[in-house]
Amino acid sequence: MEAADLPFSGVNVVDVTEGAQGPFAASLLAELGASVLKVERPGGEMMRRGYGRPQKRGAPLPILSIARGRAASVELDLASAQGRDELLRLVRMADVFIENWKPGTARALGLSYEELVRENAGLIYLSASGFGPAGPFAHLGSLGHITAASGGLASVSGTSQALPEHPRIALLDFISAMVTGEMAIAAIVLRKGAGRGVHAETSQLESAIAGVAPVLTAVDSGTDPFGGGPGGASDRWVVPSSIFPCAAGSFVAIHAETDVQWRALARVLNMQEEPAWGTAEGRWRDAAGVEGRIAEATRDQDAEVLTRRLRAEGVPVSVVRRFVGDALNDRKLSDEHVAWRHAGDKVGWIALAQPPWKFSECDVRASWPCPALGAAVAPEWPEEWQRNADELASQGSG
Amino acid sequence: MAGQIVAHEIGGSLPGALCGSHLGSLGLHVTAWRDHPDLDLPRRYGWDFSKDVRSGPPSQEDLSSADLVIDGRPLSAAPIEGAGVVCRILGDWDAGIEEMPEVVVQAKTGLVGYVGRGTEPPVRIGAPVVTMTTGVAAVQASLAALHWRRRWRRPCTVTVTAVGAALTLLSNNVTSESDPDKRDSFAAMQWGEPERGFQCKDGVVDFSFYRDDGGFARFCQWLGRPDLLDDERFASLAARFQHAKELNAELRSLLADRGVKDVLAELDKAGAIYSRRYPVAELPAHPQVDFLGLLRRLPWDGREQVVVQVPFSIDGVRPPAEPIRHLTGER
Repeated sequence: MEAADLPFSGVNVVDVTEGAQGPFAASLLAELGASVLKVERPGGEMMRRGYGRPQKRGAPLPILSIARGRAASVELDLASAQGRDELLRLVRMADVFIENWKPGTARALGLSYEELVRENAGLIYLSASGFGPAGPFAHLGSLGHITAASGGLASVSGTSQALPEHPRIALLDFISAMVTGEMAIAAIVLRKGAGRGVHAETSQLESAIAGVAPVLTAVDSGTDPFGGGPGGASDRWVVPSSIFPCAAGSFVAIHAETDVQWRALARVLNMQEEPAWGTAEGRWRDAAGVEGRIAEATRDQDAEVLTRRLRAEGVPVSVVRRFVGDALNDRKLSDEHVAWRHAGDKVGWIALAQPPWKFSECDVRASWPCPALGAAVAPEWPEEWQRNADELASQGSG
Repeated sequence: MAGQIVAHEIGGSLPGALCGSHLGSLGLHVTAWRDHPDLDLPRRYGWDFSKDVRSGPPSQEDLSSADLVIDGRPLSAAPIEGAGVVCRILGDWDAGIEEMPEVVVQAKTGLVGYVGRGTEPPVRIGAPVVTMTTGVAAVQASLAALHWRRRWRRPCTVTVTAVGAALTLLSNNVTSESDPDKRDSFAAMQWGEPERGFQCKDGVVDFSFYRDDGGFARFCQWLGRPDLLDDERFASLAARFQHAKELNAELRSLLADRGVKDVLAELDKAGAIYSRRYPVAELPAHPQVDFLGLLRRLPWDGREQVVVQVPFSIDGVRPPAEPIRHLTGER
């Protein structure tokens, strides 16, 4: 398959976003075949500077991964007449324009939706903000973990004995990037060619609340055992579904939703059951009793052996990995979900997560790292990339 | 285009249910086929809206005439023949989605390692973020595949995995922690425990003075500790990041007896990026959530259930969450 066969080949995107929410959404379009031009402020966007940690040999790693697949990076001072004129020239040739400025900035720069559709009547204009385009919080600045606090996403995790805590990753940045990608794809697929422009808008706040939606629904219906707060390792809907101790300081995650899975779990653990645990409802009502009994039974077992035995019996299970680098020591997981790409002589090879989808009829794969500021990329496929592609093709996709 | 697309959602998976609801809100005609429509977890997650729900399996004719089949069945299920696009939702490339529920994927990918304390037993991220992201990825993939089919006039199967979705959320970490030199990785970075926010007298606040020394100075003045800026550990953004643990301990003690409203007002004056930490139970009363019209109450089981609608709008209109059209027993 040629790149021209990808779903969005021929779609031109002008991306003026910074951080993760907008840039990673544009990367999803790039991996689906769109040609994405990254427009950056003089000196480069925020991820090339203060937020560009961690680094490798002086180069900020996050932007290489987040803003992947760009055809080029262009420096423009959009506050200047010359920079604005240059952007308008690009917009006239584009299908999609994506921004994540603070509300009001686009209008101040003369680059609002209304102004850009006068230049390009069929333009798909995508806006991704922190709190939305208007409303009582719209003026607030936004960083992923701060907006997560506003949207409930910082209130659901942790042990039940302490204050809720943020996960120590850019969780909302990537959830909102995925939502922004969903919005972008919906706008392109469902509205492109409608004969007029389209303005689609999302925010990190909306993504945060979409992320906690099931918790909100459970709290609202009075069925959340943790009242919307942290539940440690336990699930709100299914018992048992938690993390249990094993020998040598290791842990396993076990989930037994159906009666068949529950009986298999009890059998493998040689566990004495209470009569009330015979139904999913009964197990849910005595979560502490059920999960305490399981913990007693797993405590002295080898985690890897127990995992194999439970999996053989059809019980969903995994050994607990304590961070993703640990998980990727699993060669199979790494081979299937990570692609190594060359990021230039200075940085060398870096790992990129593969996109979460595969297409049977075209080769959608992790593209190349973000080009240097002001650089164009001739997407020459590194030798290893080509080899990976050949291997996948020989295995068949999907 | 949307009004002409007929989609069937089969297998009863949670990501499939979310995918079907979003596509239904976007205007596709979605029918979900379930074994026990009234007992389904998707309904309890608030992820069943804007679709028909029918009992039992669909006929081969239903599937082969569909534009899209959202397929959350086990890996061993027979392939769907004849549909324009099939979106397979799996746990991993060699595991069905039913084998990979939220806690298992969080454990397998190391996602659980970024919450809780390394010295204590693991906990999970307390919302089904992987399952939700898998559903969003399924919407992306389904629409992109429908677009591909429209362009090339051939059927297409697209496969989405929960493990892949989890690693998407961990994209930064995949890059930094796969590197042979992990000393400067996310896992090794000192966060100084900001993850629990700052407990005030009547709630918790989160804030950041990213790149704003002047604002931080104003806030210290209000706290009665302008001398904090004289401490070389806190005199610059880089120094504050390096000594975050000590700084946060200082701030925690200074904020403990102050009211949230006063603290937020001062943070606003100082130009900080800030928020009160909203408990989930308070989200329906959140002023901005209310303004955006994100939540909707839909009838379910003789009462009303709150659902989170599609988290974006197109031309100022949010794709609406409509009540399910429950067609059990009908064909």
